[in-house]
Amino acid sequence: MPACRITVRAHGPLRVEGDFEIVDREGRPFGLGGRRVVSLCRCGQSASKPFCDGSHGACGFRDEGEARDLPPRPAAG
Amino acid sequence: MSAPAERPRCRITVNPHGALRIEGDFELVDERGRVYGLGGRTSVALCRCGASRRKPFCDGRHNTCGFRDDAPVAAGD
Repeated sequence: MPACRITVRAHGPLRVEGDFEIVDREGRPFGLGGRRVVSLCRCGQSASKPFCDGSHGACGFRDEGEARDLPPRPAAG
Repeated sequence: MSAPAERPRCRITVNPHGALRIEGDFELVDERGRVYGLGGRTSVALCRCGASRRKPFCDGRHNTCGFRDDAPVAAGD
């Protein structure tokens, strides 16, 4: 079982749980205040990005988020 | 600074004005627990601007939709 599970919520955020860290481009970790589960914005409208603030409910964000298979990764070179 | 503890097994990098980069030991699932097939990829970029046509994955559209997030990193722990 993977160490971290990321759940794509329908018309909502990403729910992240397990053994993970969230860092900025320089590798500095976001302090999570003891939280073991966080929701990350994917509608683009949160006022507290990268975290969810519930804005998806008001902005009309739509994505069912149903699982599918990506095509195989193109061969290198 | 003391020696760092063992690093989390999944890293989520918040790219400024861009996507979330997910790497390490993770799975991506939908609300019903069905797993996205990643086609052998060991890292993926997830949309956080809301404009991708390949949600939940990034398709680069943050570059043209005006998405901005340069939120400072919260005080680390």
